Amino acid sequence: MTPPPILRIEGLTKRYSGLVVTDDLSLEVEPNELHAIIGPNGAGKTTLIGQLAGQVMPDAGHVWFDGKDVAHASPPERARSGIARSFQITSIFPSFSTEANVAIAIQGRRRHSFRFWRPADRDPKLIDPARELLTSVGLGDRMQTPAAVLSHGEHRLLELAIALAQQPRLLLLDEPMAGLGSEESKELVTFLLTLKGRYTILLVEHDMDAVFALADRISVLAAGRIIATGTPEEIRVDQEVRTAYLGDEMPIAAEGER
Amino acid sequence: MIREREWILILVLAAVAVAVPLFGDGYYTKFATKVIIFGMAALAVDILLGYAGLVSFGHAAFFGVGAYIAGMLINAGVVEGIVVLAAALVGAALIALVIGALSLRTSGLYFIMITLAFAQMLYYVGQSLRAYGGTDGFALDQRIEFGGLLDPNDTTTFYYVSLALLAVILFLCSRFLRAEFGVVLRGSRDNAVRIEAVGFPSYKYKLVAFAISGSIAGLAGALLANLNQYVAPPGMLNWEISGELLVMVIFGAAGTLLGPVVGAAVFLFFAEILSEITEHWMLLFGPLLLLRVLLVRDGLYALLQKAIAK
Ligand SMILES: Nc1ncnc2c1ncn2[C@@H]1O[C@H](COP(=O)(O)OP(=O)(O)OP(=O)(O)O)[C@@H](O)[C@H]1O
Ligand SMILES: [Mg+2]
Repeated sequence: MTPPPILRIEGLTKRYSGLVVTDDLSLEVEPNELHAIIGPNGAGKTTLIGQLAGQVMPDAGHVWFDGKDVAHASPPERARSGIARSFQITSIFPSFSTEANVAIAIQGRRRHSFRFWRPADRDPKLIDPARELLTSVGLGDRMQTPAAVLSHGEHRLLELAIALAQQPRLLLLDEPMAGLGSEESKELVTFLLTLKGRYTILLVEHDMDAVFALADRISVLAAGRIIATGTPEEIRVDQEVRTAYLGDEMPIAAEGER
Repeated sequence: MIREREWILILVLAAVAVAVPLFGDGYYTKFATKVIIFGMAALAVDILLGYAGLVSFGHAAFFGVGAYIAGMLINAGVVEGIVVLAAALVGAALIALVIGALSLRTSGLYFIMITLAFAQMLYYVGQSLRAYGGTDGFALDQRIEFGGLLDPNDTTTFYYVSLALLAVILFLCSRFLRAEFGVVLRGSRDNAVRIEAVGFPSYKYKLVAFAISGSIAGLAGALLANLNQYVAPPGMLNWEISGELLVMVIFGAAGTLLGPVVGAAVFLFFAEILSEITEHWMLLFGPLLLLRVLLVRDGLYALLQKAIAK
């Protein structure tokens, strides 16, 4: 028997003044699955992530997370229930040190932060795990650097570290490879492989090499609809996907023909 | 919060502050008391401006409420300092909770305008208090007392009481701004979306900060009422006060707590000497503010911080 899905999206719909960006979308994600979402620019991938994490409120539909409908819960409520996201456009605390960026996310796991006395920057329960996490993503030598001055590649790693610091039961990654060089992308794939099987991950990504290396299943989004869901092998050969989206210049198509 | 060697700066400023009454003339001591009081109110504004990234243009409301509460209590015969100051603190905090609860639903320019609007409303409430002199305000029968132990009618004693209160507030604020609460505030200033995404309903945190800030401004207002032994809408509840507090913060350096106190000293000093020259002294002060913004990137206090760091 397969376990019940940890995430079940049902009839999710979002319109922006007439433009249907999420179109009656339904999708299930199994526990500890790495589920990739691919689709052309403007397909509605980021908007979907936003509706799962709470930054965007859907017009209709349900988001069942762990058996509870969170479709209209606020972002902090969803974060506390175990949903963490990364942002396509890096979203960090620029005036904080790299370490403090992660520590504040760890702090977010506590019931509240109405604590007024002990210095947070000396709290080993926040700092120690922050350092450990930063070391594991390869930012170990940048702990005290102000986050604003990190390179683009380092920003992408920090973005990921912040989401991981929340110890999520559902990790939403919006194009973690965006803007990375091929070497950096490869390193990130290797790192994401170490997360595989330990986290439930919904991965939005344009880098097809990464997607096919990482995903258990892939869903293809076009104009707000899921036009296909399947294993990487199934998606690779799916004729509808290829005509609707994958085009000749896509690496999968190229790989299939080689 | 406190950087390396900032202790030196703090000690120097503290030594100067403690030494002021030794220069004899009560005139200077009274002026220094005013600096302490406005410094306290400016520090309250800085909690929001420098740490939470919120521009309150309505702190005259809390300042004035504190002053009125103190004046009304004293004239009703309640003169015990602890009681009067605590009442001003709590009263201003409650008003701040209400104003903050509504204002914090907006942001940016709207927040500035709505805090200003609330303060203006309170100004007109103050004006309409016939029993308390309306626009003219009212004189206080006496100053607060501290169980007969201290005599605040003595200029020097009142100065030291104010200075001690400022020191305590500076210390408590530097604590909570460095604790988890302060981290969330600064996080919400840095990135309003991310702070929510990592699990903080930032509205609640900002509201508590707003109430704390309001209560400190209220305490400062209560002290000013005592210093002048007079309370009136102009000079306490008018919007210029809100603006001047912001100028003090920016002059001194936002996000440093002590900077706004230095800013208050500089502002009041120039106000004093320039207003001797002309009643349009702001005409002269304006260019100074411009120079400050153009030449000193982070404010005077930041300049001092750099000077000792060398
Ligand atoms: N706040 C908004 N208001 C109006 N239209 C929006 C808004 N957000 C997104 N859109 C539109 O919705 C569509 C989907 O946008 P979305 O960012 O979700 O696409 P995407 O699949 O993430 O694209 P990309 O691959 O470029 O990141 C686009 O046409 C976009 O212009
Ligand atoms: Mg996107």
